[in-house]
Amino acid sequence: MDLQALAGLVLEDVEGTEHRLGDLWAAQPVVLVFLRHFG
Amino acid sequence: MHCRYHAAQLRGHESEINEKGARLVAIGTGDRRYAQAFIDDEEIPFLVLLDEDGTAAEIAEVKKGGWMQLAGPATMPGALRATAAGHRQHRTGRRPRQLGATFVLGPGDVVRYEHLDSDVSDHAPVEEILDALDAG
Repeated sequence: MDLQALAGLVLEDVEGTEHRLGDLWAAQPVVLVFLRHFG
Repeated sequence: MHCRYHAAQLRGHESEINEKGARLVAIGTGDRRYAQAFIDDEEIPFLVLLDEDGTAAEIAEVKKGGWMQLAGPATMPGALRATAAGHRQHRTGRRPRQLGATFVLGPGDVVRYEHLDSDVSDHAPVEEILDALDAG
């Protein structure tokens, strides 16, 4: 996995707020779960 | 149904994850409407992000399954467990072949743990996730 590329990616939450992924784990560990789908 | 079952399992351990100084975040394939329904139905308290075009999943090298990984005999025990727990299959979205994965990352750009699901019933054991947090 290219963690640097993943860190630079920006995704939205359900309210449209943008989150840069790398910011999630910059200062604390994160358990990042890829769900197959929301269904 | 499997992904909702897994999400519900993780929700039950979120406080334990938080006590270890970590945060739980989910990334899903699907649009905002399905994500909101998922959050509401499963009472998901943690951050859920939308990966509608699959870019994040591709970078993370999340696996894709054929029919054996999506509905083959090996997936049946997991399907039965999920059904018994009250979960049912909803729409699979635009990328039905994508499987799930779990990572423990950080602090900083460090991969502490990764589990790439091998089929729809395969998920990272919660004990392994907690152990990875303890090891950091």
